[in-house]
Order: sequence, then C-alpha cells, then structure tokens
Amino acid sequence: MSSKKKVITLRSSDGEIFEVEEAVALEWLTIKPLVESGCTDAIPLPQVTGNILAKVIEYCKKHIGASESEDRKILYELESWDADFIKVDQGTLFDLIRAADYLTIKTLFEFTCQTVADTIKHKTIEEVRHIFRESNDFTPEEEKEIRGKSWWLQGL
Amino acid sequence: MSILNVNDPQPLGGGEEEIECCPLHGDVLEIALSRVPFLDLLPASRVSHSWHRAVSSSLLHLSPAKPWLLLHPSSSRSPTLAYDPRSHLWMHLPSSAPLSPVRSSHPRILYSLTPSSLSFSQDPFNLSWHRLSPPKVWRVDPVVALVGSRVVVAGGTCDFEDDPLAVEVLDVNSAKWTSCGSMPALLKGSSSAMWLSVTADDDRMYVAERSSGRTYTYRPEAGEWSGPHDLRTAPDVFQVALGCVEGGTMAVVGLIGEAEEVRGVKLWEVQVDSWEMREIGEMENEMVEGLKDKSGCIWSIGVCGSRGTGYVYNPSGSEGVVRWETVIRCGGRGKVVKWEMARNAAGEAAVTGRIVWRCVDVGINELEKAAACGRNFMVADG
Repeated sequence: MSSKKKVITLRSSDGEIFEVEEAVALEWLTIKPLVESGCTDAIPLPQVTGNILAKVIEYCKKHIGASESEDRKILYELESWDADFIKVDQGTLFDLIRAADYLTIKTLFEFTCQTVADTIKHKTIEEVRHIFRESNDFTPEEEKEIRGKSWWLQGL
Repeated sequence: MSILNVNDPQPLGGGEEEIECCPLHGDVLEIALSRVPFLDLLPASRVSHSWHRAVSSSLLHLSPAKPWLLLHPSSSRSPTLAYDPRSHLWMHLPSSAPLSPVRSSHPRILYSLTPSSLSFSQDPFNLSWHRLSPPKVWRVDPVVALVGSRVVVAGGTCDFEDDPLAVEVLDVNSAKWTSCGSMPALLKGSSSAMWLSVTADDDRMYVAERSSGRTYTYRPEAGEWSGPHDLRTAPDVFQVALGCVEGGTMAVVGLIGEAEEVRGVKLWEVQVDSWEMREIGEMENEMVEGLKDKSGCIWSIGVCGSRGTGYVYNPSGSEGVVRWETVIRCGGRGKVVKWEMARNAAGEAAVTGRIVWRCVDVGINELEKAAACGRNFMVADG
C-alpha cells in the first residue's frame, strides 16, 4: 500500500482511534459528506464501539475492490473469507448490523442481514426462540389457537 | 442517514447487557425476514408477538408474497410442484386430488370430469373438493371456468350426436345445472380447451381462440355471448393467450413470428369494456429462447396469472418458465413490466404427460391451512 493514500481518522464510542484509507471511508455513506469536505479531525462515531468498528473496517478493507472483481478465484476466496469473518457470537452479529445500518454500508448490511435470515431458515419455532433468546409471550389461549390451526406445531 | 428508517433507535446509553436481552427486533428483524423463504415465515410468525408483527410488516412493506405457480401432473398420485417467486424456490406438495385425471382451463378452478361426476376445487392447494353430478352432455376437454359462484362448462369434444358447442352452467350454491345454448358457431372447429385460452372475472368468462386471436365474452347470468373481438394487433402475431382480468383490465400475451421462428413475446393490456389494447411489455430475447422446446419451436403458449403477475410457459416442455409482474412506478404514474425466468421444474414430464398449470394467491393463511390438513411442502431445490 502506498503511504501517499489519504487517511481518515475515526473515533469509536469508547474513544478508540482508527485510521482508514479515504477510499474505504467513502463507502460509508453516513460519513461520506464529511470525508469529501476534507475534514481532518477524528470523526466521532458515538454509536459504534471500538471492537465493532475494528470488525467493520476489517470487512470493508477486504471488500474494497474485491467485490467487483470478476476473477472467480478472488470471489471464491472472498466468499470463504466472509464465512470466517461472520463466525461471531450473536451479540456481535447484531452490533455489526446496527453499525452497518448506522454507517450506511450497504454490502455489510446486506451480508449481515442475510446471515440472520439464513439462521432463521428451516428452523422450528422453539429453535428460533432458543437461538434468538426470544421468549414466548403468547397467552395459553393464543397458543391453543395456533395449535388448533397447525397440528404439526404440537410436537414442538 | 441510515439504510433503515429507524423510528425506534437503540436507547442511547444502553449498556451491553441491555442489548443482550433485547437482541433483534424492529426494522432489522423485518429486513432479515424479507430474505427468509416464504415457507419459513410460518414458524417465524409464531415465535412471539413481536416476531408475528415483524413477519406481517415485512410481508406488507418489504417483500410481499407473490402468486405461486402450481404444476399438477395429470396422474393424481404424483406430487404437485409449486414455485414461489418470492423465494425463488420449487417445492413438492403431496397430491390432494382424490381423482384422476385433473384438468384446468382457468387457473381458479381445478377439476376432474368423468361420465358420473364433476369434481372441482377452488382453493389454492385444493384442500377441499366438491363432487357433483356431471353436465348433461358428456365431453372431453371442455372449457371449464369459475365465474363468480358459477361453473361454466362449454365446448369440448363429444359424441357425434351431441352439440360440440353446448354450454352448461352450474350454480355452485344450489348445485343445479342449466343448459345455456351454444358457444358461437365460429368456434366450431376449436371448441376443445386445447385450442382456446380462457380467463374470467366475477361476472364474465373470456374465451380466445389461440391461433386467430378471436375472443368472445360470455355472461352466465344472462346466458349471452358477445364478440368476437380481435386480439391480434398485427398480422405477425400467430398465437395469443389470456392472463387474468383485474379491475376491467385483461392481460394478453402474444407470440410474434411463427412457431419455428418465434421472434418475440409481447404483453398487452386490454380494457374489457372498450376492447382498447395497449402494449405494455416485451419479453427479453434470452427468455424467449428459454421457452423454446427441444427443436427450437414454440407451437403453443400457455399463460396463467393472478394479481398483476403472470406466468408464460410452453406446454410441450422447455427449459424455462417466464414470469412477468406489473409494478406501479414510483409516484403512482404508470406501470413497468418486470420479467424473470425460472427453471421449468416440470422438465420432461411436460412432454410425456399432460400437466395442469395454475397460478394461485398464497398468503401465510393458505400455508397454515395446508399445514393444518397435513400437506407439508418439501423444498425441491436450492
């Protein structure tokens, strides 16, 4: 990497300082206007913690340029890199979604949402509740109605 | 700026523990659900109240359910194939037809006609069947359409002493048949459903002769036919097929060129009161190719549709099935037609045995009903 490239400084909610290439920061639509205005101060990101911001930067650095590649080998490599990258605990995954949303990083947002969608796929009600720590707040009457409608849920 | 319109942002100052206990909700959940296959939304909607709301909202705002394509093999024991365009998935569904062979000439009704009975089903997954006495005139392959609460049986191939154009109407509520004269004489050589394309709204049935584009309207309430209206807008349209009629507008698909050299497939909108026609779209070439049979021809085209969507298929078998969708432009001005091609899961079966093609509206409620009747879908691929 050439040292000539312009670097943007970012500050996470917990005060950590990060430096990213301008090209990476321009992909983040929320801060793009600030970057374009030539802001030289550290850009504060009060909704993203340092550990999440580090992951976001890692993802964007890897993806810049590579996503558009037509070289199958590069795309395959990127896919397996993504698969490793997303092996995180659920709290981190949701934080990444929120960060990608807050910073308006379309690729990361789509990727993380798709990961959640893939987790919901082919699961029973109880499995979904367990995975997403969602408690069943249906009343016994509502439950009964659901069971009446769908006998196959009874075994769950 | 944000990808989502977050109306309900995370409370500021919320510690990590707080995030742990309310992990995924609101808009993010809705976006994730918009990427979940339709079948999986049924259990998801039963997780909790907030998930139930998120599923409804996601279906309403982000990724609505779209009419499915159903393929019923004429032998009733083979599974029905179902294609959900929202999830781009083909599924198997155990057959529900109590009888064989099943037929359909109008997507809203699947029927089986024998000399002793007419059985028909109107619901998307054919969970309930009505079995009634047959019409008086025995025929093979008539036009059968559901018009409001009436079943119209017209034409077909029959014994020489019977009128090949005979029309009989069944009132579903009273289960009574009425003989209602004959189809127009011009349809004499083509009264079998094979040569005709049929659609209906709540009070009229529309019958087009595929090769000539001559189209007649029938009102079962009055027992009267009107027409013909010519749906071939240009001499190079050699075949037409009717899609659904909604709000007085009918979709019409036409093949351009000739069977051995189809040059295009176009879509028109026809106002059924004035018969004013307007071209609204043309299929991409690659998709036209996908509709050709093994010898590169399209002898006949089939169309079935519902709610602004239609499927175009080749009854003699082809690699692809093409779906169109009319989408209202931003700002509500005008429509655009979006085309997409799916693999034709019927494959060789379409060549060897007759397949009944239907387009049906499927919502979470329909899935629930099917599940309650023990009809579970199996994903066929993907």
